[in-house]
Amino acid sequence: MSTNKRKGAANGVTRQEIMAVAAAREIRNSEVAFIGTGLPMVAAYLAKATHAPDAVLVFESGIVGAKPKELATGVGDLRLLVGCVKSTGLYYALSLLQGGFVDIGFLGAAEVDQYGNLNSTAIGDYRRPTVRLPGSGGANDIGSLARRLVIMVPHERRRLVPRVQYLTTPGFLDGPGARERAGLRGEGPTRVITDLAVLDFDPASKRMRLATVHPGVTVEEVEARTGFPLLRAPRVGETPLPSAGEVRLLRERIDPEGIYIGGKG
Amino acid sequence: MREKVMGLREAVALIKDGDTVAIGGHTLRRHPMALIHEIIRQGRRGLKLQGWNNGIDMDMLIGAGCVASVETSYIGISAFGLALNFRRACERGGLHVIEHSETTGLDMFRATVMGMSFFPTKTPLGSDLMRTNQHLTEITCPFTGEPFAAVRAARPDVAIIHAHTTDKYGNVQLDAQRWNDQSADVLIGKAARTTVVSVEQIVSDEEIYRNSLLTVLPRKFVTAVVEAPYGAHPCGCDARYDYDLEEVEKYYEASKSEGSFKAYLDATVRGVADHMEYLERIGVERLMRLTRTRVARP
Repeated sequence: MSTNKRKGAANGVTRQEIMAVAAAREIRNSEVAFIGTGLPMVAAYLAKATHAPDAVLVFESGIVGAKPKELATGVGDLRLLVGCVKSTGLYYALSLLQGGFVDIGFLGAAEVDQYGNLNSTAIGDYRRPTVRLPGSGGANDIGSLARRLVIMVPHERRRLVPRVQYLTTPGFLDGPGARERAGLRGEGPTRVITDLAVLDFDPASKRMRLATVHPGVTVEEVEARTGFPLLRAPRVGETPLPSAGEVRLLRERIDPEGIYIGGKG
Repeated sequence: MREKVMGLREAVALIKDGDTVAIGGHTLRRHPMALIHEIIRQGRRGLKLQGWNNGIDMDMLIGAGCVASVETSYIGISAFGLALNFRRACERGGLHVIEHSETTGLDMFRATVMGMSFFPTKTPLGSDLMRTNQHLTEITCPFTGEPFAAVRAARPDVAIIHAHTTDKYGNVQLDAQRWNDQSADVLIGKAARTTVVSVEQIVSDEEIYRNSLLTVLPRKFVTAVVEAPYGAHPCGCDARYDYDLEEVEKYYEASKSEGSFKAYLDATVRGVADHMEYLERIGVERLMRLTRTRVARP
């Protein structure tokens, strides 16, 4: 295994590994988790291999209860069929979301704002964007209908913005009560996991709040890399490091090529 | 009973400039690429594309200058990132985008198939999708008074789909090892006025009767069928062959500039007379590799 890939935060653990483990811990046993590609897939596999063996992983292409042997490049990858309990179609997967059966979803985005709204559509003017992104895909659906949402993004000023330029996926919209007024179900975003910190949302104002910083990261660094005034939880702690067992699982079984977890710290 | 088998050229001639064309497939899976290549070869223009989650299919048509508008939840080249022809066309202005969530992108076809003029959903409420998509509007439940979004039923002129088998009458089947009958392709195929289906193989009617559970589109819904083995390449085709990451990467690199993309189209699509010549350029070794590395059966 190349040691270049393992330059990282502390104890030779990469920031991506810290993120994957933090995300895995959000999946409770027996929950239904809606999974996309990348770190969320790694986190979901890790959760199933550790504290949440009975979690049901759902991919939007229509695979329920996946127990795959390899990472897939996309949610429509036939590799995900291995060991699954139900192979169905998009209807069914989306109907699980629609019926309120999905407990947790994971999303990344080009922009996240202080109310946890996401933009994966366009940077700049929508009609003539500076950067045109792919669009919602299943993101809007997951953000609107999952009971809880976990957002995973690199911690960059240009990414954590006061207000998204296009609201692809609803977080808390413009504040307390807004989701309910709009007619959406689900609690909304509960965590934002970045390569610097784990954040949550202040229950009163629904604004993003710093909960824990990763080992080796300062609060000031987090604030400097956030594009809006960041609230702090009453006591900002340190993100727990992955256990030796979790690291072994990640590096030997789940992502041995370090595609998602092998980034530099 | 009317026989519906056509050659690729004849089937694609059913599509006219300016038509609304709905495309089946999802991410790197079973897009009707042989049909799309032929659309480009025949120089179609002004097409209004519809789909629910798209990628290389729509991006290639956009890059080839065939497209006036796209209506879908997503256009990206999975595993590589942005769809660069799509991106260029949007950033330049001129490509009209009708923005959906995956639910509404699917429900617009579901509505049509169920004989409804709209379909209710929660997903786009509160988002900018409502603001920028004229096919979405807010309604109120007549019983509970709660807000819903309504998505307008889609009415494509033509649907293009890639499937596994059909008989000559257009009874289209998917293999047992694939996504369920409820796949989006079935809705797309049923929602259009004209439905063109390319298949891996044309089989006998007895084969259809023997496996009637596998029929996804009975002939009533199908206008023309075309035999095009590896007709989804470089996308995968369920258990029959894997996606060709090497080709998708070549595509992605070529799409980084207009010039290199034109060269790619000239070499890969316009410079070949037909689908067989396209496959000959890919080569037997690569095709066999994609077919041999079929992933483990559940």
